[in-house]
Formats: sequence, C-alpha cells, structure tokens
Amino acid sequence: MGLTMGNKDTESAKSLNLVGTGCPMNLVYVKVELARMQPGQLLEVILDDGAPVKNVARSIENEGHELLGRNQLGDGSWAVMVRKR
Amino acid sequence: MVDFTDEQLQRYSRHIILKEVGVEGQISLNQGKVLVVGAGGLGSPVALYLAAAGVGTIGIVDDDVVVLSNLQRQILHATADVGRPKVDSATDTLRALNPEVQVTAHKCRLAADNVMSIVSEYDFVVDGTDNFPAKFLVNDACVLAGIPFSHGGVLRFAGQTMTVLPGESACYRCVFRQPPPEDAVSTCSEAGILGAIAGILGTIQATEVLKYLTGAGRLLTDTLLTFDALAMEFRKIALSRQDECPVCGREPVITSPVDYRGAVCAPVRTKDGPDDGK
Ligand SMILES: [Zn+2]
Repeated sequence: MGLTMGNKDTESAKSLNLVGTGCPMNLVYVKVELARMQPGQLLEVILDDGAPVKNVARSIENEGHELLGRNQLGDGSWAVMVRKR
Repeated sequence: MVDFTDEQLQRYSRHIILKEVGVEGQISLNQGKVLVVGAGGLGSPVALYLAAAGVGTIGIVDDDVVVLSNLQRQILHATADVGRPKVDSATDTLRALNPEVQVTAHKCRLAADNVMSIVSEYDFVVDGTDNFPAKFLVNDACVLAGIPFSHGGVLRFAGQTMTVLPGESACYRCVFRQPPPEDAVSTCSEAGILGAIAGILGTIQATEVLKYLTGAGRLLTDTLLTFDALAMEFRKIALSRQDECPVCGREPVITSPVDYRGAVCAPVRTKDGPDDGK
C-alpha cells in the first residue's frame, strides 16, 4: 500500500524509528510523540514487521488518529504515516 | 509538558497505552494530590495502588501504631513494623514501591479543629476510617471544602462505597443522616473481618481516585455500591441529593466540622445504619 499524502506533508512529517522496540513500549513512544504534536500534524513511525506494526497501527487508529498508509521497507520493517487527530 | 524519563515511561507504560488514560492521564496522576485517611485495612490497598500509579502527592493520616492483629489485612505494614507509627511504616512502604511519589505523613487524628486545613491541601480524599464519627467528619469537611471523596466501609464479609462530588452528587449525610447511637453498633473486635474484604473495597476506592484524576469513565456518584462476599454479590443502590441534608441541602445547619465523641473502635451496622468497621 502506498502512502497517500502529498510531498509537502511528507516533508513536514516527524519521524520515529522504533525498529527493535517491542510491544508495548513502541506504542508508548508513539503516544508520547503524538502528545507533543499539534492536531493535523504528521508522524512517520518505523515499526518491525509482525505484531509491532499490527498492534501499533490498530491502537493508533482506535484512538482516533488517521492512518494515512504504510510501506514495507527493504529490511522488512514498515513505515506507517499517522495524522494526529 | 511531555517530559517523562525513559524509566517513567516504562513504569507507567500500562497506563499510557490505555486509551482512557494515555500520556495526558498519566500526567494528571503525577500531578494529583490525594489524602488517605487511615493507614489500615482500606487505606493500605488505596495508598499502595495510588503510589504504584504515580499519584504525585499522597497524604496519610493516622495516629496509631502497628500491632500484630493489623497485619492480617493492613498490607502497608510488615511484621518488623509492629510498634512503629503507622504513618512511618506506610511512608517507608510507599517510597520503596515508588520513590517518585511525595508521601506526606499526618501523624494525628482528624478532628473538628484540624480537618479543614488538612483536607484543603488535596484534590481528593479517601475515607479509610474505622468509625462513624470519623466518617461523618470526613464527609462534612469535604462537603464544606468542596473536595471530592470516596466513602468506604467494610465488616465481616461485606463492604460498601460511594463517591461524593460535593454540590453535585449525594453526600454521605444525604444517605445516613447522623451516626447511629452507640448501643446500636457492635465494635470491630466483636465483628471481625476477612482480610481480603478490605482489599476488595479499598481497591475499588483506589480505582475511583484514578478515574477521577484521569477523567476516565463514570464515577460511583449518586450510587452506593455494596457487596457480600459470602455470596459474591454486588449491588448498586441509586441515591440522590437531599434538599434537607444537614450539610449539603438547601438550608444547611452544619456549617463547620462536628466532632462526635463516643465510639472509639469500629462500630458496625445492625439493621439500618451504614456498614463499617475494618
Ligand atoms: Zn448531603
């Protein structure tokens, strides 16, 4: 699945690399980062394949943030783009 | 604003990942100030869970020393604490559990002349007392000072609790007008209590505090929750504020805290009074 936002949004997105960070601390770091941001701002999160990307993406969506898309990277990890609600 | 250390993020991770708590809720807990009245059967689980949750300031009021018969249910205290003031033992236990919380020891008995100044330092008060005069004193002081509180009482295999938001929901006196006459109640030493009962009720009270501070869910207001552990039955009784309540009604006659002298040890309900004792 490709990312759906334009280049301008991508450029302004913050990025959080959570490769190697397991559940649930990866979600904790994502929530802390989102809490620091303004509504509407973008956050790119890099998550491990499997449970991490599945769980974190589901939780973020469940909390009302918008999942704009996800890309699997060359090493198998995922780049997930989130818009803060 | 959001400046947790990595250690704090790990300690509170199970709160932070909860949708209803989150980062903001944990910050509210860390900034919360809660007074626990009584470091006994109810106060023990309450204070332990508040400290574990990172509630920033925990006040403990108690003027007793630990005796061996407390240890069957008062889990703040250990065998080596027998003979020590309960507030000292409680402070050590809570600091060992979470060095981040500020524990304030009030080594005294709440009375009409000190209760207002003590409760007004806090955001929320937990009644973990073992006698009716103290329960009415806590109610009146919290209503007069406008401080939310949790009432709790236990005996034998039963317990009851309600949360009071002064000026909004029914207070203890709306339900139980005044302490029962002394001859209508038995004492704690006659009644007995299964230790874990204090744990159940105190843990419900602690949950109400955490809900209040984080804003999660609906509080146990205008509701008396009772349980009977022998049948393991829980019951909710709907309550409402009473216009003629002597402390929170339309024309209150109680305008400052009242000391009821009398019962020294856990009075216990006979037929119509509230459950009590610990
Ligand atoms: Zn009332």
